[in-house]
Amino acid sequence: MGKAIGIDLGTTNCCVSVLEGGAVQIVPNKEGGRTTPSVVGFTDKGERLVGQIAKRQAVTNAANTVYAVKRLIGRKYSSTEVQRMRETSAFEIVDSPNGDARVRVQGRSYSPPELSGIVLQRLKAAAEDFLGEPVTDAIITVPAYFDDTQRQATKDAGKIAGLTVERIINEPTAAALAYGLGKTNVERIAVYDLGGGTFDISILEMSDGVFEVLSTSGNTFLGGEDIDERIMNWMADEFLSDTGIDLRKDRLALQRLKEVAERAKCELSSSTETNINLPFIAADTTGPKHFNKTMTRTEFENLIVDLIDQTIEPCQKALEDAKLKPTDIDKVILVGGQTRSPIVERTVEKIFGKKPSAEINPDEVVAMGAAIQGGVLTGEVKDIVLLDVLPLSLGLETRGGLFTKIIDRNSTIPLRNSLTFTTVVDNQTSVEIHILQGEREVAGGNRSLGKFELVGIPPSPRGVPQIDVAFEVDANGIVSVSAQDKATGREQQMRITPTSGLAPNEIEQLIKEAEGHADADRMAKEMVVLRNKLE
Amino acid sequence: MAPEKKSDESNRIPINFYDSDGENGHDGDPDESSLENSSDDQDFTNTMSSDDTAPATDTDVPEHEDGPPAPLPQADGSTEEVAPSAGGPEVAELVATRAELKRLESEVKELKEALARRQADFENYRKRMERERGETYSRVVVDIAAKLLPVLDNLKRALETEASVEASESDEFRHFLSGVDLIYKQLNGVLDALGVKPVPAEGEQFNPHLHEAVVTEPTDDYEPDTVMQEIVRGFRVGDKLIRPALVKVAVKK
Repeated sequence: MGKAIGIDLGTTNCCVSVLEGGAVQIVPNKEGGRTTPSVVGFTDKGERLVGQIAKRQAVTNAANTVYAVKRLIGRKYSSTEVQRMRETSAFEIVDSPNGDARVRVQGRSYSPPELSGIVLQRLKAAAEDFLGEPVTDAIITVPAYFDDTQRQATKDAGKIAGLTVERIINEPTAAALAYGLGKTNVERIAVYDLGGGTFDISILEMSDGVFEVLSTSGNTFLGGEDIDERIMNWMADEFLSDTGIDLRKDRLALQRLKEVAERAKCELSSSTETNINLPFIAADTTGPKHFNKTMTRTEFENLIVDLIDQTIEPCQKALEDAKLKPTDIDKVILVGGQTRSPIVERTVEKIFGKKPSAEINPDEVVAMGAAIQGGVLTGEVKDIVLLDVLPLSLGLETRGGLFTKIIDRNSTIPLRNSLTFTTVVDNQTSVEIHILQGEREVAGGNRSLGKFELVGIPPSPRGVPQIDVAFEVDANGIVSVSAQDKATGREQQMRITPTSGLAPNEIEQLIKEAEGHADADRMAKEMVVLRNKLE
Repeated sequence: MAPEKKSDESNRIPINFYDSDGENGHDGDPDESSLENSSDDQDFTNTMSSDDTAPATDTDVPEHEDGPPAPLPQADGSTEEVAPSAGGPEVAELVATRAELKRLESEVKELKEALARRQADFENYRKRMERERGETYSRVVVDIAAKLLPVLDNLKRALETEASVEASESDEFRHFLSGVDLIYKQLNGVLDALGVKPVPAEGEQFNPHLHEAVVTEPTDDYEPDTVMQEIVRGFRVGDKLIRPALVKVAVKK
């Protein structure tokens, strides 16, 4: 096994990291950036653009520029998340025969794993450029609350990109790993992750390398983009009251506002005031108009305090769910670029009663943890054993539409567990095994992972046949189920995928396609190089 | 799903207390990994200091290399492998020595592996450093130019705005303005001498590798996907883009 790269596959941005000579390195992309926007653009010339470049053409090609695929991955079209995203996205989100959400671009429907696969393929290529050797293995991180289907879909995305996904790990777990936590002592850690578009809080407990997610909470529509928007609105309002001109009506002025808003936000993390200077931003009959204002940190914080305060409740809920008091938390880790603002740090300190740790770049900490896990798997890092836990309970639908748990949530994985079931009517010759994941007592309230039938049970009175149903969860949290009739030894098993996601042959097909595109990409790259030389 | 089988096996690597440990060379037996702890702790701290790599890792290698078996603590391994009751003290010693030999052999193998890994890493690192050294100059130029360009933009905006109200201005102001224009040209000249060249935009086919679309306009006057107007000039050094040109793009009416 060569080097395994660690990939933080984010909603808005991705980051890649690798262990080299015992040290974690961030892998820059082709454009030199340390993070890559999770955006894919399909041009009418058949090119597939990824990252910053895809973003640059979004305005001219909105319907064919796909972003935030992570919100769709492993989800049903009918789910509230997908429906909510449909309302605002400029690209078309469609239903599919198995109910999965898909994206329709240029008349072809793409599954979310395929789209994420396109991004991953580009990240893989960047890592190969950086390392000067082929890369085939990867560790990919997912939110702690991702269920089996979402994890499986993420794994499929890696496969489509030509990567062997050695392990899927939880983002907060990766962050904790990057901080070198949980090696020996029992520690309880809160990971506060405020990203570009989502907020997640996770409470972990670790001891002897076992990372248990005690609880998670968050807000899937809150992030740095909201903060930038507040600053832009403030500038536009100020300008309007000074000059009577509404910059929001001027697309070009808005572009400039956006740029300085981001810069002002960054500057106010380290200094207490910043000068926002936009000469010749507009003009009217009396001549050119300039925007020149000083924004103090206090003004900035007043603008966004209600946004940051929205993170308090999820934190308290997570603590409550974990049955912990703030004082039980040993360490708080900050993840996501937005956590650089001092107001975030203060809010977190207020919630947990201790100063959060932010020594590691919060944009990169998750990818770094994934790379460390990669080092564990290749044998480069040896003093940690990482065991994760199952995020949600697994079980079966039993008589009366009830849910019978076979493996409880937070069980350390990998593991295997079985229960014996029986028939409910006389001479019943087959049983339907309906596999579910979730915490609700009623089967219908949980997520269906798949169904299969065990047939050929010898006719006998109800309650007599004994059917062993065994669940096996591998280290990635991916589930397989088998059912065996004890009397006949007849067995039926399944690896979870069929009702959802992509079938193995579909994946094979997509891998081939992706490889074809990799060639096309290489050719396109050579063309650009040649063209540049000619100029 | 059939093709997954292989990865499942390697997933079992770190969880060796479960049962088997044979299939993957490096996972060794549990005793060994506990022996290794002392040196691996160090590895781990290295991984934490992500910023500087080369010097730290370099010096690490000889330490490992020095004398593989001798300096390591031996207590664990030998006490675990106590000989069964049969035979005299000689047999016991033989068994113990064999066990020790086996342990040392696997330790040497492991250290060799670690060394090879480090060496490969270092080689690749050296190559990359060489490549990057060549790029350092242009990277510095890119950094400086990127910070300077907004000033150039604003000078340009100033000149463009004043040019449009030309008629009403006095002669003194005109002279002053042409002086400012000269300064603008001078700054352009300096950047040009540093190798900072503007990205062609107006009239070109829109190309996201060089242009960023800010706004579109439905029109019949231009072919679709043509850059109608350059809003902010883009620049590059060699084939490195400093920033894309912000442009208005024609779309079908």
